Amino acid sequence: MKMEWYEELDFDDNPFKKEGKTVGYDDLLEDVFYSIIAGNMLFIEGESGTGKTKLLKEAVNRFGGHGKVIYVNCKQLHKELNVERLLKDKYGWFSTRLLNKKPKNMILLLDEVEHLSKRNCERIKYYFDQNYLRSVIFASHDFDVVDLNESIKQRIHKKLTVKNLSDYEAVQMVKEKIGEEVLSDRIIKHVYKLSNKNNKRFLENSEIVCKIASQNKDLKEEDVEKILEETGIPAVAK
Amino acid sequence: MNRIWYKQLGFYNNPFSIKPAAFHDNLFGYEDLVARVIKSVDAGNFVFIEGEYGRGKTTILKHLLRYFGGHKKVIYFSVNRVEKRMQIRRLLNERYGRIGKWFDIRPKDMILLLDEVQEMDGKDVEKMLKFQKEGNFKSIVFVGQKYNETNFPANVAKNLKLFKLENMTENDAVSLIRKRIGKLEFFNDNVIKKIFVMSHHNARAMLKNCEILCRKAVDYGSEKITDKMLEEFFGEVVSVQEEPKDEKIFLELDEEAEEDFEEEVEKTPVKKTKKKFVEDISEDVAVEDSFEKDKKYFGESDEIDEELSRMEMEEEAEEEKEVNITNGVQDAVAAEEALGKDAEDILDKHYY
Repeated sequence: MKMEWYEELDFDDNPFKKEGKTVGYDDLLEDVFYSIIAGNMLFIEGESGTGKTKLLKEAVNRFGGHGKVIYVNCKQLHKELNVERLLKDKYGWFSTRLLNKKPKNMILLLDEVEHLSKRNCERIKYYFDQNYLRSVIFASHDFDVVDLNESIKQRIHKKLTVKNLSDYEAVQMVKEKIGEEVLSDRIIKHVYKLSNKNNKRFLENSEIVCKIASQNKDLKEEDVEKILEETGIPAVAK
Repeated sequence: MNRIWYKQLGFYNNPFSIKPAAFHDNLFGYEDLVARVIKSVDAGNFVFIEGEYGRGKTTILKHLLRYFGGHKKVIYFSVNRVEKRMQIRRLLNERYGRIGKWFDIRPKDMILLLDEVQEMDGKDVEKMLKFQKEGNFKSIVFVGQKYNETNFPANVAKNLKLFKLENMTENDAVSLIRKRIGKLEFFNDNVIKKIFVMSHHNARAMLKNCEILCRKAVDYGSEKITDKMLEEFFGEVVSVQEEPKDEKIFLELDEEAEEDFEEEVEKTPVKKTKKKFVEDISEDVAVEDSFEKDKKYFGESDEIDEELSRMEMEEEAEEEKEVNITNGVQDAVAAEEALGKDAEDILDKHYY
């Protein structure tokens, strides 16, 4: 039976598929956790692929398990579906419809808020003011593009900007996953550059390079570009 | 993340929460206005309260809700919740639950508090007027950003009393913060006033800024918020009317005693002697009415502070020295710990 490339490198699972520790996000994460605990609104801004969703998912991991966290990607939020329903459904059909209980202290994580409707914005404001929502976190690629109400903007405590990783952090991230020996620093940096400094794409690309490096021990920096071009995924940075 | 600034200071919840529901019992600067609103509600008028963002509109409504509440006579409704059109009949019926809905039973003499009425239009108001004529509503309080005449039919507008929310005064801002955090040594009153002015006299913005500043200060382990920190944060420092500083009293207190501070002050003879001082310096007081307000809220006066500080200048100088020394020691210990950690990290990496 043919071995997968990661099995040859003594990994049981594909290291790139595993949810690893986030590198370079410690401060951001702390801010996110803090604003959830303190009950504030927060806006996370960052280019696509820099890890906004990752941050929100970390928050789900940290606070989930008590039926308090709602993660919504607003893109998937249908026009008619409203936040009010969402809150109540999450709280349970039985207690909201029959006992008419109101949800309390929910944590709402909204991804891609540029798709959020005005009406839902107002609702969020109302529920936040009434303390049904303990904390709201918005994530989008650009704060200025998002069409939030002035009153919501005033309630937002802080605007976090997720930046691209530095070269060093990129190297750290890959090494965290696959260990020291497989890829050299220079190759990783080159892959990162070729991936337009986009995290998601960077991980995909490094997986491809890794696959080849596991068979070909002395991989050169120049080869990387060719490999990636062959797979057809990357857009080379100019 | 287990170190959250307000928990370190002994608060269970975030004391600077901007949610109106969290601290709806403190209302500062609007006592007169609320009294007048209550009067006209009792008289059965329509009331419109207009004010800009973050001035405390919803807080005032919450206050009214508490004032009139408890007899099942008040309906609070935020207009921005609705999908298309307000269903006023539904609101009234819900007072009697499901049966009310089925048989269309409507209560009499209700007080309706409406928040965010900028979402509402003339038709809704007319409907309300109809119900009011039938005796279902005693009075309606509208709260919104701006009074829009076109939304209100002429016969409503005639009976409508318009109230405008003015800015809070600086002293009100101080009382607001003091009510929430007690006598924390992070702020003295001047700093609060500065923050208030730099937040453009906006109460919500002030609370936000206070929270950020407090968090920073606790994280960096500094004892209080200085002008320098303000400058870093806002980029500028405005000067406010300086008042004699009252920080010196705090040095007498242990950290544990902080929370009981207000009670202690009332018990201590300081308060009794205060009146004498006030009489002595009555001229000053006459000049500054604002002082009078401060005293009402804090139960202490700045004049005494001056007097006290003069009397105990020497003792305090010593104490201050001590504090500085202990701080130095703590810093050193912290630095050592940090070093130790670093060293461990390095070791870990090597052996890993």
